[in-house]
Parts: sequence; structure tokens; C-alpha cells
Amino acid sequence: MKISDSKYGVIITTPGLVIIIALVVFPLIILLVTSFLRYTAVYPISFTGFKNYRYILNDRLFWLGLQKTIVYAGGVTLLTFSGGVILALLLSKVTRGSGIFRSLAMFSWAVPLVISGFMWRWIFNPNVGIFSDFLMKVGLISEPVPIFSNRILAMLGCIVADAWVRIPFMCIFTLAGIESIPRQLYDAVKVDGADCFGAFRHITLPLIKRMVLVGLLITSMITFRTIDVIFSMTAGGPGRSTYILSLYLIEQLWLRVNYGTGSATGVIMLLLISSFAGLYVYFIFKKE
Amino acid sequence: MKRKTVQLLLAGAVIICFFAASALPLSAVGPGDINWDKPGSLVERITGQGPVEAVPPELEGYGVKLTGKKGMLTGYQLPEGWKKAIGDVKRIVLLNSGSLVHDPATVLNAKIFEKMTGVSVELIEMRDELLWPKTLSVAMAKSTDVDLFYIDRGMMDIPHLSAPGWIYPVDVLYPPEAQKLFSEGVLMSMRGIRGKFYATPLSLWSEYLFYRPSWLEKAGVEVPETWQELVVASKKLDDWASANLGPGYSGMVCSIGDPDSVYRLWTMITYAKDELIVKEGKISIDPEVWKLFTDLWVKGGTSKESIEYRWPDAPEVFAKGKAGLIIAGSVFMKNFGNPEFAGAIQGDWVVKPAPAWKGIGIRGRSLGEPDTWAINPFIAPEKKAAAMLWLDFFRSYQGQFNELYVEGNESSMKIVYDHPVIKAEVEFPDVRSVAVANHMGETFPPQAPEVLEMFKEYLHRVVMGEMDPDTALEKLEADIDLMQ
Amino acid sequence: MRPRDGVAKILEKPATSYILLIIILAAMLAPIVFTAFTSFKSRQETFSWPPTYFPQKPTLQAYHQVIFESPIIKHLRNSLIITLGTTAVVMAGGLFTAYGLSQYKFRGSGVVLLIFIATRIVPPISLLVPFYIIMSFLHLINTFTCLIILNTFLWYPFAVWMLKSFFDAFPRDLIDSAIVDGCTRTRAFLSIVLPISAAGIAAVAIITFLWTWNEFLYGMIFTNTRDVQPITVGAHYFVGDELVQWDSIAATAMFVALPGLIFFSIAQRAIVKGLTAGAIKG
Repeated sequence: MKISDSKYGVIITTPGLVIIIALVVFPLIILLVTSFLRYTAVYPISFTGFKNYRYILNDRLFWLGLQKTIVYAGGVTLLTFSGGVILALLLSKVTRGSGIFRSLAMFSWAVPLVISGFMWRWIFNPNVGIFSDFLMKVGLISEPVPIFSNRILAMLGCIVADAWVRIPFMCIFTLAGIESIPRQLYDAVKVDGADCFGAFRHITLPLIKRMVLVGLLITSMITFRTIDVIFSMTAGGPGRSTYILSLYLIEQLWLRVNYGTGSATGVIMLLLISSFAGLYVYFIFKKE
Repeated sequence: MKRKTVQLLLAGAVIICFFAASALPLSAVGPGDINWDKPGSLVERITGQGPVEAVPPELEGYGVKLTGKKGMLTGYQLPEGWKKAIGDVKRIVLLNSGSLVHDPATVLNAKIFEKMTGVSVELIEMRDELLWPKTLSVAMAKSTDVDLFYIDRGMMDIPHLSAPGWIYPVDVLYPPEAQKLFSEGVLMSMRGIRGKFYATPLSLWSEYLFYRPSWLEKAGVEVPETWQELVVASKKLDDWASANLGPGYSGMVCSIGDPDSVYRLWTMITYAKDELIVKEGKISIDPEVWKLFTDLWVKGGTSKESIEYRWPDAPEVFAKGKAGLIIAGSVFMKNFGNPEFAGAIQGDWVVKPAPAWKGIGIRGRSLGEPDTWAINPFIAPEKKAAAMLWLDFFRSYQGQFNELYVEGNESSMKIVYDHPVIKAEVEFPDVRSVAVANHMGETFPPQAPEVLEMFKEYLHRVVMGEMDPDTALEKLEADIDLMQ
Repeated sequence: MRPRDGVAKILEKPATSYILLIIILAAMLAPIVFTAFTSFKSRQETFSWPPTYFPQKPTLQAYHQVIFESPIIKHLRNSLIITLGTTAVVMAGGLFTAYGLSQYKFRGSGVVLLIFIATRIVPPISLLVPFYIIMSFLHLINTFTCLIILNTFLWYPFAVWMLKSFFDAFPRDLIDSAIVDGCTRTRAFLSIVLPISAAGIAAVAIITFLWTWNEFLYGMIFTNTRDVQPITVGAHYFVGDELVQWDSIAATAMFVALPGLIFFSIAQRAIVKGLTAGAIKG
């Protein structure tokens, strides 16, 4: 008996589907259901309709968190993008010792976020860290800068630390894109008299665009709901200047002990990211 | 067929959700087989004292080196019927804040307990920020993986845990005569709804004023006795330090980067004024206390970096000799004397009880909130009995003696400070006993942790110079009203 | 000469690439190098101001403490078990799922893929309690199984997503001609598609490995004892209360990062090659 191709597809997808349903869809449903419940430590559980959502949308802290999240995710994505692409371009040019250079460029990815949070906190520490000391030795500043006592610097510090871990991922994606470009194309434009800027604009950029955009999408999606670096570096301070939505979520869960509003925050974040990702994917595919 | 499968799956998921979500309190049978008043009354049993002896190697564990050190290895007496009550329980599982290398007294007491009862004590070392999420997860899931929770801010967390019945009341351990052994602050912070006791203390902290006499002398500043004087003194010291020592030096440092440090200072200043934070069941901010708190930065010479310091950070700065004054906890009496940690200030620091409020002369007032253990109500009755024995033992004279003597935390049992060995060998016994005698505490409403975050936010804004204290207070009060 | 030409000339010189690369890499590696140096300092030196860059009296004291006086080796073993287990489960399930989604599209396969992506956006923190309830119901708290399941949840969708892009790029003619030759579809997948896409599959496996290795939150909440805790949790052994032991933390950090560093040194070529294969079509 010969089964049709689409049935075959269902069959070989099934083991994976079981995993998704058990591990992925199931928690999603729990999240959705609890977001409509009054689910706190103090009262018995009951259905509340959209009350949790109304509470969140009227909360000053939610809007503050959203604003900070956009700045943070935007900053990290931008830095990761530019750092990753520049690094990849340079790596693709280097021929001698390229293996060593590539391995070195990947190293920061191997450091777990928990550890890198600590590392950066320590580096930026005005009393023992090397950041202030280095700048002082170079002569840029005259006394140690307390990074985390300043609204803007604290945010920047967190962005740098987070992007530092994510650059290799972006870089490797871009590099793979560049490697797949046939050499002959470059030779062809060289003959036409284009310089390296021209070659980049007319060949590299269009051909790596797709790969870079996928990398960008993954990076921005993850940074939108990330927590590790901020949690270990500033925990939202000073004065809630690095208060991202994930911290708002944590506050709902752990400080208010309110799983209803906590889940509702999760759902809202989910909606925000997926609509963003949806738009993004739509525009990429539309153009082609 | 396909649709049916999907429906079935959905229905199944929803049912399990509700099953899982129905976290209703359960009533549990108590470990009734123990007679806490035999042999001898409860107070006699828990205040029993043994000699202070060298610790044998078999009482070591968890990578803690105790050989060569001394401790009180006997003294506490088990209550009658304990053996029957615990049945064949061989092990209890406890959460602990931070790693045990830093808690030698806990390890020693655990080993003594094991030797005495045959029940081994397994301690889970949790990073302190994640202790609370872990506790909540276990409690909400009614899991029995953990027998005892570690509660490091009882005034805030016990109301949350006791209301839904997620911790087990232990009133039987606190008859009126036993309550007299502990200070009011300690007792208040172990209470939950309906005034019941839910925990027992393990380690206690007090906050003290530390200063550098050489700085004060050179700057011509008197030792501050009150909070008001502290503001002035810190300013003078700061001016002197920046003129003579250069940038990076400040009059005073303070950790206000994490909520717990903020709340220790906030309660301390309020209690010094002989007031409470909770009035008629609501959290209220005394305007004068807020003024003074913010004045430490606005008018005083406290370093602005304080807003990024978590609790061990400011003492580290002081230990490097970069500040003249600091409010810090008990453990730094030991650490500032350690040349490895505080080489720069050896022989040049003094500790005094906390400042008083001007006009109200109580010195040494600080928050008397101990770290505590509380029992998971969903475990088997025999385990509960074993857990209660552990609680009974740890708050005893012997247990608290070791906490103070071996580890350098405060003892929550006041009479331990009268022990001759403590007087002779522990750092600054007089300063400590003044603080312990003046401990205060209260029971907060469940909104307290949120309010505290808000308090911290506006405090930071004032320190950063974004807001003046009056506007900040107004906004803070408006936000707090919304919550309560 | 226009300024742009000048810049282009400089940029086109091979030496410029090297110099720029070295500068950027130096900046990126500085934190790791500094941590590595610190792991050889004495504790007193870690507290000194101004901070020293090179250890003045290099000592192995911190490593001695980490290796012999702390259970770090046990944590290393645990991490290996969890990570290898997760990678095996993710790859075993993910390969088939991705292949089915890519080459044998069926009604609703697009939706399945979207669900995959969507779930990965759910903040893992918000699922802490639901998962805890399930795991404790199944008596899986504090077991390797539990951590493998949770990590599978975390990384499975990404793995499927990346794998699908490789299979999308795979020339369909090759599969079809094999089937015409009398191969079953499963046989064609196992003996033709898999070997040819090996580099890409290896890349995804390595990435999954690293992500699992670095996971912290679930590893902390769902475990109780050192017998199962992964190394990211074990690293907190030295993040002390009163006295932060920077030297020991640095040494531990080196241990935690080491497998990743070694892996990248060996496997970076395979990763890039694998991803390049996926990039052929897009």
C-alpha cells in the first residue's frame, strides 16, 4: 500500500508533534487560561474575564516597562546587528589563520549569561573594575564612573553586556551568508571597476540580506523577553531606569503573587512579539 | 476524526489545568505525639547549656572546615515522645539562603541534630534572589520535595504564605513563657494571619554605625549620636574627604540598590522615632522619616553611588578605606577585622549602636527580623514532627549560641549574651546586646513587597536629583494609595 | 582623488582587515581574558585598587579550591548528562519533524511551524509554576529527566526551525530520483538526505548543546541537590554572602565556559559550513 506524500508528512512529523503538544502547546494553554483567572495567594481561584488585562493596561509600570523594553531590545539588536555584520565581513576577508580568528570571535557566546552578567557587573564596578581604571589610564576620565548610578549609562551598560553575548550568533549567520556567495561575482564587478563599497552594495548586501534578516528576527525576539543580564546587573535600577517588561512580569508573579496578572502580562508580551514578528516576516516575503 | 482528537486534547489540557490550579489550603494532622513540656518544661528544655568544646571532625560537612574551632555541642534536650512521632523518617530537606560555606553554624547544628536524632538534614543551597520563586513554586504546586522553607524577610513573606495555608503554624513551640526569651521584633516577624506563629528564627542581624576615628578627628567631627547629627557629620566628612583625599572618597556609604537594604534603613529610621510603618493595617510613610532618609543624600554627604550598591557592596567600599561612615550589619564586625577583606582600615574603625532620633533617645534601634525556617504543610505528619524538632532545636540556647559564636550573627535568644564565653570571645558583645534588646518588628500587609519597590524607585529618583523629596513623597503616596 | 576612493583603498588592503579584526576581537575578548587572569590572582589582589591587570603573584589557589574543595566536577558531569540528553532528544525528534514540515507539506503544516515560533516567545519565567505543578505531579523534581524535558521545551522549536531551512535548501530531485530507483521515503531520508546535510545538522546540534549548557533558571528552580544541578547553578557556590570570592568565581567561570570554548575551536568550521548549506536557497 502506498500512502500519499502529505500523509507521509503527517506520519514522520508525529513524534515531533507529540513533543510540541506535550511541551509547547500545553503550557501555552495554561498561560491563556490563567490569564483570565483571579489567581492569587490570598483569595480562592475564580474566573474574572478581562479584569487582569484591564489592570495591566491601566498600570503606569506596564507602560514604563514597555518603553524600556523597546529601548533595550532595540539597542541590543542594533548593536548586535552592526557588530555581527562588521565582524563577519572582516572574517570573510581574512585568509591566513581564519580558523583561529573565527574561533576567537565565537568565544563570548560560550559564556553563559549568568556568568557574563557577573563579569560585566564586576568590570563596570567603580571600585574594583577595570573599566573605570582603563579609561582613567587612557586619560578619558579623571575619576571612576559609576555606570549603574546613572539612568542612561546603566541602560547602555546592560545593552553592551547583552549584545556582547549575542554578536557571535549574528556574526555566524552573516558569515554563512557571505560564504555562500560565489567568488566569481566579485571578480565580475572588479572588472567593471567597482570599489569595495560598490561590491558590498551590489553583491554582498542583496545576497546576505535574507540570512541577516533571519538572524535579526531571532535576536530581536529573544531580547524582547530576555531577563538574565538585567536581572544580574541592575535588577531594574536605578530608579526603574532599566525596568523591562520581563521584570514587570516577575513583579506580578513574585511580588504581588498574582498569577492572573502575571499570565496576562505573558500573553500581552506574546501578542506584541508575534505581531511584530508577523509584520516583519510579511514584509520580507512580500518583497521577494 | 482529526477535529475530535484536537478537542479531546484541548479538553484534557483544560482539565489538568484546573486540577493543577486548584491550590486550595489543606488541613493537616499535627505531630501530636510529642509532649513539648516533658522532660522538664519547654523553657528548661530549650535553654539547657553544655560546655563549649572543640568540634570533632565528624561534625563537619558541606565543605565547611570546623576542626580546631569550638562550639556548644550539647545542652538542648529533645521532648518526650519524639521517637514515636517521627516514625522512620531518616531525612528532612531544607532550603538555605546562599551557599553553606558561609554558614558554618548551620552546618554544625545540622550535624549535631543528625547525631542526636538520626535524622539527616539535607540543605539546598539557593541563590538568595531565587529563594522566593522556589518557595512559591513548591508551595503553589503543593509539592513535598522540600520540607522546610527558608524565609529571609518574614515580615513581608509570612503574610503571603500563611494566608493561603502554605506554611504550617507552630504555636505549640511558643507558649507565653517561651516568648519571653525572644525580643518583640523577632516575635512579630514570625507571625502570620490571626497572630499565629509560623516560623522559628535561625540567624538574626542588627544594623550598626561604623566609623573611622582618624577621619572624624582630622575633619573635626564629633561622633554622631542621632540621625540628624549623622546627616551633618556625613556632610562635613564628605567635604573634608573630597578636599584632602580626592575623588572617589565620600563621607558616608550606604547600600540602597536592593529592596532589602532599603527596607532595613527605612524601618530603622522609623523605629528610632518610636513609630511603626503599618498604621491601621496600611503602610504609611512618615514625612519626617522620608525627609531624613532623603537628607542623607540631599543635605548629607552620602555617596550617590549608593543606589547601585547591593547589601555587601557598600561595606566593601568602606573596607577599602573610601568612606568615613557606614550603616552595616552584624557580620561586618567580623569582616572589617579580617585583613584579607579590609586591609585598608585595620585598627581604624569603631562600631556603635545605631543612631537615635533627635529628642527620642533610644540608641541601637534596628529591625529585628530574623531569617527563619517554616514548615511545608503538605508533607507527611512524621516529617512534620521531625521538622518541628529541628525548629525547636535551632531556636534553642544551644542552636543560637552556635549561630553567634561560630558564625558571628546575632542570637535571637537574648540570654545568650550573658554567657561568659560570649562576653570574652565574641566581637563587641556590649554593642550587640544593646542592639538585640532594642529590636523592633511588625507584621506587614501583603502589598508590602510592591510598596517597597515603589519606595526604592522614588528614593533613587531623589538621589539622582531628578525629583525633589517633597514631590517624590507626594507621588509615592499616590502610588501606594492605588495599591492598598 | 575623492575621499571615498582613499578610504576604499585602505579598506581593500588585506592588512587593514587584520588590524581592524584584531582591534575588535581584543575588545570582545578583554572581559574573558581579564577573568582568566583574575582566576590566577590571590584573593587579596582581587580586592585591590587600582585593579591589577596581570596577576602579580600568579597562584593556582583558586583552581585548587574549585577543583578539590568544591563539587564542581560533579556539576560538570551533571551538565554533560543534561546537555547530551537534551541534544539527543531534540535532534532525534527535530530531524523528522523538520523534514516532514519541509519536504512533505500537509494541510496545517504552516500553522504547526507558526506555533513553534510562537511558543519560543513565551517568557520562560511565566511558565515556572505550571511546569512545577506538572513536574511535581509526575514526581520528577530533582531528576535529570525533568531538566532534559524542560530544556527540550526551550530549544526544540529553534532546532526545528533551523533544520527546516536546511531541508528546504535540499535539492528535491535527488530525493525523487532515489525514490524512483526503488528507495522508500524513509530510506531516502536516512541514507541520502542525512549524510549530505550532516554539516548543517551538526551545526544545529552544537548550537542546541551550547544553549542547553548555558541555561540557568530552570536548572536552579527544578533541582534540589548537587547530584543533579548543572554547572551554571553550581557556579553560584562562590557568589558568597559577605565576601565575594572573585578569584574562585573567575576560576569557576573558566570551567563553565571551557566546553563551549573548546567546542567552538573544533567545530566552528562545521557550523559555518552547515549554515552556509542552509543559505544556498535563502
